[in-house]
Amino acid sequence: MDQIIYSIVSVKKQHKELNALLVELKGISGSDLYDVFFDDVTAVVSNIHRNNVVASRPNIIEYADVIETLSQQFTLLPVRFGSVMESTDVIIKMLGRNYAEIQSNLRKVENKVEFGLKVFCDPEKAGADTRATVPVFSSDENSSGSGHSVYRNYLDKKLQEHRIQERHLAQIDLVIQDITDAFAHLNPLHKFQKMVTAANIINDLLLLGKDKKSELVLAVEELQKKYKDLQMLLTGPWPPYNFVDFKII
Amino acid sequence: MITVRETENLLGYGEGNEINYRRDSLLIIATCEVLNKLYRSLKSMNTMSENKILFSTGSLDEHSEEISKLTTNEESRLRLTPDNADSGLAKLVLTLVDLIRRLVEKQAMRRVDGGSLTDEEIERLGETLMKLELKMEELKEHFHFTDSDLNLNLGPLGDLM
Repeated sequence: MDQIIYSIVSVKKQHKELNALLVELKGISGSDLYDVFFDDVTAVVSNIHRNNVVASRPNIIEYADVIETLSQQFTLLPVRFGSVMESTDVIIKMLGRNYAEIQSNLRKVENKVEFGLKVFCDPEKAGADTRATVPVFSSDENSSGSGHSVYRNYLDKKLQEHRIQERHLAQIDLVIQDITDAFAHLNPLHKFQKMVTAANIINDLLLLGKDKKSELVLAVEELQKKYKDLQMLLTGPWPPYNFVDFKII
Repeated sequence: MITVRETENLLGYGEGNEINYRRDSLLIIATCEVLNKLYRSLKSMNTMSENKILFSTGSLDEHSEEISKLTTNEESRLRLTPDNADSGLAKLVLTLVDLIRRLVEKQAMRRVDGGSLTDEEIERLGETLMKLELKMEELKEHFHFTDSDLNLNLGPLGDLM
């Protein structure tokens, strides 16, 4: 039978504690969990038929639950759902091949957790505000626009749209700079995404110390006071899903 | 928690109906068990979700709806099957062509904005971009594609365009 890997855990001298926890936990579809170790790192796995590896909502939630519970006690690297290997031996070899990268990533996330900050705007209002700040533009600055060819008028229209988009992105960059400054004293790692949707203009994934949660919330409250037209959603702490930077070979 | 009585009502059993005690009671008990398990798991999911929200302004329902757009845009999925191989391939090709067209357009706008083009070059650029866009519209119409059909959803990365 195949084995699905939930996470790679830094065990050090806590094998007993890990085993005790794995006995209590259940994996996908109530499967038993067990560990496969190589030196001081352990893969937490359960048996599964490859055909049953379906990314359904219940499976994903059960999978995430295991990672969430483990992360409360151990430093770990969450593994992408669907990482299946044929046997314990294959897993041990995989851990051996990737040991250096695994250790490097574990050091990066030790005693740290992930938070997510989403920033939302009202797309129509934001669009109107941005348009108001961009002067009507002609590619021929000396011309009033009359007598232009249809191609020149087309280009002028495109240029106006382009300038509005650029202005909008510049405004988003300013917010990102403010976020970076506001959180700087917490020493986080950031991963930003811009314009995820028309309304969700910024996603900021943060990796920072477990003890920094209250300070982070305070910092977000201050940011919200500054940006009254935006809405903010801060979630966490999460296991470091987005800060594991290597591919298993 | 759902009781046996409530489950009987849900299943349509009421007074006056004859019940085969052995078979139906087992069914009722089993149904109770399933419903209660579902209730417990839903309750724990909700609790977990609530504990994770540290700060929020605006409507959570609206935020949730916005976030779900990343994963539920079924129209923009590429579904290649033996029956739709030609239109599926056309969709993929047109998506890539449109993406390149938009990138070229963006780069052209930067050049115009930079002020380094002559009047003649600007005129030619406008003509080229306009014809490209018209040709793209023709192709979309020919294959019965809309803009949202060609905006492939890349899951966690958001929409292509």
